Amino acid sequence: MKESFPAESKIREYLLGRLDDQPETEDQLSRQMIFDDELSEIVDSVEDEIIEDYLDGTLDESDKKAVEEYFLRPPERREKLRFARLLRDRFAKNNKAVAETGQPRESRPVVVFRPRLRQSIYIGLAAAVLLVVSCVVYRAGVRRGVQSQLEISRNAQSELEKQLEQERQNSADVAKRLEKHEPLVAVATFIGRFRDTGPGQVVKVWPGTQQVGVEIQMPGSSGKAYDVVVQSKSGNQIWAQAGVKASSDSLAFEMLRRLFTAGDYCVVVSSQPGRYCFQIKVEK
Amino acid sequence: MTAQPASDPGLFEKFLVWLSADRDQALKKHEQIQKKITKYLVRKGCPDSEELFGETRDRVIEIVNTGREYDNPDALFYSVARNVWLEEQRKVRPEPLPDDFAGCSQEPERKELMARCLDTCLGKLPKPEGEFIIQYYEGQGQGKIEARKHLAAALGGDNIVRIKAFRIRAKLRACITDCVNQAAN
Repeated sequence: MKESFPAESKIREYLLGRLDDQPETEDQLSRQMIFDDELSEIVDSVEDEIIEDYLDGTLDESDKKAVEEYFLRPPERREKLRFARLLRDRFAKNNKAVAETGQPRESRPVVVFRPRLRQSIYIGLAAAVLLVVSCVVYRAGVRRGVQSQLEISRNAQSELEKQLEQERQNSADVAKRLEKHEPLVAVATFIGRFRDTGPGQVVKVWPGTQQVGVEIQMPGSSGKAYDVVVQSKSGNQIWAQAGVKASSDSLAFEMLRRLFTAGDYCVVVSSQPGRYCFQIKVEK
Repeated sequence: MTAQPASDPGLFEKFLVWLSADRDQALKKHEQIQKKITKYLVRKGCPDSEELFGETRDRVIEIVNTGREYDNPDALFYSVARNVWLEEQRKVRPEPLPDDFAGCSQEPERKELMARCLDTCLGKLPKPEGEFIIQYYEGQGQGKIEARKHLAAALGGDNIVRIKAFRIRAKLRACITDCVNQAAN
């Protein structure tokens, strides 16, 4: 993408008719889009994305209104919308994901689970492998008829069995927590525009939750570093880190769960206007 | 390609000569400009882009036939189209969208036909494109976001994924339109 091209956010503003009252800016962008085929294709792709976001229900109220009152006025765009719905319906049959609740995204808490279950499974598997190896050693000892080796193997086996049982219990605990949607890491995810008003999205934490994570989608941020501060509602700094690097257009970081009690918090990112706010809710 | 100006055919021929001395090239150029200007008018939210393009073209034909020199047809067309759009904005109150703007109440037979055509067209995609579009639409909600992040990481960024998806969708739309038209004939 050429550096002279407008940012995706600007293109979206243009397509939603928000630049129509800025004649110079609108004229400049219109000319660029008409005379540059590469930019025109990018604009077409952003149009498709607006349609996808509209069907996903992830647009905020203002954008949704702009889509329905401006963006979808041309019949060509409504045809695109119908086609997009056709594609999504087709692929929905292949998907195993849980159906949407039907609520607007802003009122639905978004939590991403990042269990450490795999780690427990790997430890369990490693213990099982050791158990198998010790069984092989045991059989070899019997063949050689070495009594002391047999005794050692039996002891090792017994020890490993205890460890395996312990790991199984740990895995079962974690699985139970997951079943009840108790994440080890509770994450607040911000996509598109940030929320600077109201309590923001709700992030639930359980007794077993160890970390609170934040993930902010920021197009064009890959490779850049930001200073991040997390504040309580009263403005007290809870956590801060300088030089947090974004990757894949996303800024992500984790904090110790014990820093947070129930209440409202906001994330301030350097060089970004506004704040990303969320609410911690403690579950029993 | 048909070009049907409202004005005198003689004026239209002069207009074509202005686009290019070669008539075939002139018609091709006219078609390219028509696509660009129509797309511009759609992006400006005009519900009647074809009609407004016709208005634009008629005005350009009149301007060209005044004898003044205009070296850049694209630039002239754009300037006139923008004026047409501004005038249209001033006089037209936007109509509310029809209730079924999303096409939810399409006839079941048509929906069924389009779904069959989509399956056919998906089968015609080259394997990498087919696999890509399946991955692109994988999951819902957070799952979909994660799937697209993986794609972006694999392909080199969100922009690349977006453009690739757009191109494949455009291909599918054209294929489905052909398929539906063939079924109708």
